[in-house]
Order: sequence, then structure tokens, then C-alpha cells
Amino acid sequence: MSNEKPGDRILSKVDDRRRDFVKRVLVGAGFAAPVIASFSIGSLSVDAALAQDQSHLRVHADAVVVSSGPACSVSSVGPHLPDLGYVGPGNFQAYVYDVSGSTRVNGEVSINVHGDRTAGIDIDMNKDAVVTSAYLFINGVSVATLPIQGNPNISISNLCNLPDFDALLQAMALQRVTAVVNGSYYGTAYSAQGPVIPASSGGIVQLNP
Amino acid sequence: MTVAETAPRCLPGLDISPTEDGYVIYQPELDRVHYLNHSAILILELSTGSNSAADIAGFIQEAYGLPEPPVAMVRETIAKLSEQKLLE
Repeated sequence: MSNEKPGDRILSKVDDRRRDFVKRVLVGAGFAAPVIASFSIGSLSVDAALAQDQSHLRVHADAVVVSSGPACSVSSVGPHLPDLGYVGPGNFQAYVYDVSGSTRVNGEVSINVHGDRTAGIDIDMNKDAVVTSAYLFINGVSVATLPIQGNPNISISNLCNLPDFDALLQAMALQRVTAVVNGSYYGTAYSAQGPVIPASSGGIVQLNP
Repeated sequence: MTVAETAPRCLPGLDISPTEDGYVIYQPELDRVHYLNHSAILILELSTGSNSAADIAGFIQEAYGLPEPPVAMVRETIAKLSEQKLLE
């Protein structure tokens, strides 16, 4: 009688050097529909995005805008736009990478949406990489300052250039948001950037208008 | 004949980094970054040049105890991996 387990045959079909890796993939989760999302590294650059048309954000220039740090350039406060609410993914993540190539710093930004229109932020970079600031951008325009110490939550008070918190969630669900983490690594400045995408784990959040 | 009908081969030397919910592959020379979930990365890893799409679907069916081999899903994924230049 064979002692072969169901996963053994699949492991015999991959490259010898990749078996440990594939074993970890196999035990990690059940089979789901494959997902491949590809982006241009250049399009993730804030400098490149700044060159793009920002007219869609100017629509909101007279809406509620809260100044929250040096990356937010608009500080006027105007009337609220109608609140449309939000129904969509509750967890997001961005895998950020130093696109300048000055360092090999990389890491993850996790964003977990709460029912009270706040979101928990977790920034996890390489060991020894110092984080000095972190932001969310849409087409090169800063829309949120992320906390790097103290209270790890963001709320409307962290946003700028957006009418409300739901607008940020809608933009993240549509994969229009880039996370940027700035800092230094053994004295060399880095700017790690990456697209914010819905995380495969986590449920759907519904925030009523 | 499409790549899914032959035995696809993963591009050698890909830098695959695990993240909390999947895997990221950077191809700075092509100005591309790819996010793959665990199912897509498994299909990529099984693309050794020896396994056809039907073979890969069979291995996945066996490993996960699926009622049917996910042939169409594997073919579609291989086509997309090829389109994104992750296969030779």
C-alpha cells in the first residue's frame, strides 16, 4: 500500500529547489480562483503620477478637506458632498518597494476598515528600515497621511483632497490608490511605493450613508 | 498552438516574494510588478516545461481533492501568465 499523501505527487512535479516553497503554498489555503494583477512600476511612482491629469480630484476641491500634514496641500473647508456610503472589501494591502532602486527596502502596508469609518494601519518594512512618513496617493495627489507611531488608526482627520472617508474606501476598492512609505536605510533615503489592492482575506464592509 | 496546449515553462530567475495574502513578483527590466494569489503561484510553479495545462489541472484536483480538474481555469491562468511574460 502506498504511503503517498495527496500533496506528495504535486510536489514531485515541481523543481526540486522549489518544493519547500510549494509545500508552504499548498498548506496555506484551499484552492481558489487564480488572481493575477499586474502593474507598471513606473505608474506607481508619485513623480510619474503627478504628471497625470488631476481634474477628477479638483472636482472635490470645494468639498470638505482637512489639512493633515505637509503632503496635503489643500486646507480649505467647504460644504459636504452627498454621502454615498460604502460597500466593499474591508481589508486592503499594499506591497511597497523602493522604486528608485537606491535600496532594496520593501514591506507591506495593511489597511483594515472598521465599522466606525476608521481604519487600522500596519506598516511592516524590512528590519533596520526607518520609516519617517507614509501617505496614500491618488494620481500623485496626497489623500491621506498614515500614522507611523502612536494611534495606528486613520479617520477623516487624516484625509485631504477627498470629500469623506467613503471616497477613500471606494478609491481603494477600485485600485486607484498608491501607498508610499518614506524613510532611510543605513543612511540612504528610500521611497517605497506600491498599489493598494483588496486583500483576499477579510470580509465585506457595509457603511450606510 | 497556444502556450496552454504545450508544456509551459516559468521564466527562470523570477524573484517571488511572499506577502500576507499572496505573492509579488518584480520585473524591473520590464517595468512590471505582479501580484498573484496562492492558486496562481501554484500554477506558475507547476509550469516546469514538463507539465501540460491538463496535467497541472489534474495535480491540483488531486492535491486539493476537487471533484473535477480545473482545466479551464488553469488554461486561462497560463494564458495570462504568458501574456504578462512570466512564462517562457
